[in-house]
Amino acid sequence: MIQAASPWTTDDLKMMLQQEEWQAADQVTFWLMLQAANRLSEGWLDVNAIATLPCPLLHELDYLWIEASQGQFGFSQQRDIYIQEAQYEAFQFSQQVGWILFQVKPVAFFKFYDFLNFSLSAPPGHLPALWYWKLNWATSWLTGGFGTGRGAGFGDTRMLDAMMLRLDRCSLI
Amino acid sequence: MVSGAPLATNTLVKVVVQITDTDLDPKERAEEAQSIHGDLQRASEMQGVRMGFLERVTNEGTLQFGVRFTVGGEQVRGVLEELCDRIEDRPVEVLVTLYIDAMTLQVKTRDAEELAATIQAAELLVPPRRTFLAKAETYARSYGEFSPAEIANLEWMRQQLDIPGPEAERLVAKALGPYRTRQAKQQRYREVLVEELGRQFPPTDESRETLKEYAVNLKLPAADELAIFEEVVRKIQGDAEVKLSEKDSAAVTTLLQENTRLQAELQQQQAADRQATLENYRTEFAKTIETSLYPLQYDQGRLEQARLIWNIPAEEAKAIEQAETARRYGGIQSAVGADYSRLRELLWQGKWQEADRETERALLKAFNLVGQASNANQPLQDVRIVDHATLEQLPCVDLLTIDQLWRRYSDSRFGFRAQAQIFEEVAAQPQEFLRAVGWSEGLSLGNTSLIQSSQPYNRLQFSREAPEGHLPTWRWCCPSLEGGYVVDENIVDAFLSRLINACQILQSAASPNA
Repeated sequence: MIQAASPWTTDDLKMMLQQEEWQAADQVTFWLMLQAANRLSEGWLDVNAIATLPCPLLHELDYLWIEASQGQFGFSQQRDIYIQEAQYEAFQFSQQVGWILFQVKPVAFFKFYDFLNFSLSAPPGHLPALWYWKLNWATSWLTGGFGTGRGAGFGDTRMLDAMMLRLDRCSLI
Repeated sequence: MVSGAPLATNTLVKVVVQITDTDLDPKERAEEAQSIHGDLQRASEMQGVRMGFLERVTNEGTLQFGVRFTVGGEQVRGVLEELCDRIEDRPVEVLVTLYIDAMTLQVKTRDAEELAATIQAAELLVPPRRTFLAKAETYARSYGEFSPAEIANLEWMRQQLDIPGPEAERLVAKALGPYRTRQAKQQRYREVLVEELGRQFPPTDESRETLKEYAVNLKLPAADELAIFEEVVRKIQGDAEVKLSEKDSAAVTTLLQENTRLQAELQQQQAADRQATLENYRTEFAKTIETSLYPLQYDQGRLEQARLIWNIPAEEAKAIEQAETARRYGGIQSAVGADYSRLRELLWQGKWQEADRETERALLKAFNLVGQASNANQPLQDVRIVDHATLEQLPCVDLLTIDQLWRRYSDSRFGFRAQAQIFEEVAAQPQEFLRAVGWSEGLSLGNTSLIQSSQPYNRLQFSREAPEGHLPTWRWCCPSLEGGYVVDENIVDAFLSRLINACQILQSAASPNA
């Protein structure tokens, strides 16, 4: 796993993406976001941290993902699905990008991170995902999980929306 | 050179005097001829001169009609003076012919003075005198006066030619003209020149020629003439300048002032005309946007034509259009260069939700332009959202513009002023405010909130039927919306306080676009 002190750069990310090491790339992406939010010690993002993520970083990360996956993965892909297809419905979005393990309406259970599809055969917008999966122990429990991040939990509209809102605002400049 | 030529002192002049008076009959003419013959015979100059008659043989015998004789050149003057005296005493028309070498001088007159005038001419034809005069004139021409050496030379020449002193004196006078010295000539020419230029300045070509001619007559060297001419002209010009600066400066000042005044009047008139034209354009434009924020294409074409005909620069026209649109549809002023025209359009179209999103976009733009602390042309690098700590950076001008637009298109139901009024009505209680504007639901007991629930942003009411102050939302300070539109109570307090105190949003005078 990612070491808090690992000096990752976007060049490392670029190389991983070119080699189609999608899972490693997702981890580096998340690490870069944590670093920018100054939350390496916490190891997870909350809505306020997401709302202040630097737009230039998000733009660069998105560009690298979109380019390496020919538009399959990336933040802007996720944002487009969220706004245009899911119409701001978090559940609809999660289902569409393939993050949900199974659903017993009105409850959906999210996949464990290791069971995500780290290949180009995954649905559009499937990655990056770790930013959404990494939760603190308490939040994980609160959202129906077992202190193991997003996995087996119900999902979190607020956090997903915060990320999409941030991407939307960054696209305005 | 004349002085080197052999000097003939014994030139002879043949004189023939004919009596031609037609008032006299041949007999009387013969008497006159004999009378003249006798008179001349008695003159001292004629001693030793052989005289003969001009005779003609007629039926009445031989009649004389004139006399003839030959004298030395030096005697011509004396003989002719004698003849003048004779004619003065008893006027009679005579034809006098003088033969001097190859030259002939002839005069026919009954006037003694006229005859006297020929004396000098006759004398000049005599070679020694001619030689002497030519020399004197040559000397005079170069300097306008004689140098001592020249005077000595002329005197020597006079003795060699055997010219009598008084005669030589006359010849010299003739050579030098009426003014003997160069200085006198210069003086005289200067006087004449000043007089001439005083009458007419600058001189015409004609008067310039006349002046040159006079200088020649004065025997003034051409170089002197030119120097004097230029000197006098310079002096006159200098005088003219002095005159202008001293005497006419007042008049000139008056003229200039008058000119300035006329120009100012002209400019005022032009400005007034221009103003009228611009006013016409404003009126025309106002008609095109009377019913729609978007002028018809037909109207736009018509307007563009008018603009070209009235010669209004595109920028000026645009400024008028902006001002007029602001007057009719609300101003879009920004302290930092944010653009609120799209917000105005969406509100005019009644697209409340889009207008709300646009409010966030424009407000965040303004907010970040302030934070960027540089010019508005530089693209933004990042988009910060407003929080409690940075809320003071929101420019009042922009907040008032946003408020004014929302108020205008909602009949004052929405906008920051409506929200500020509600805040005052609920005694500045943030929770009460959030409930009053319909952003949260819940129960509270006194100051204690029992249940406070929020709703997703999408479930808010984007219509005219929404509670007063429901719009615009403050989504620009929210990190998330769909998980629940929640406005921090601290921000409620801080933002509304800023609107009321710093931006004076409740004072209508403080709203420039009201």
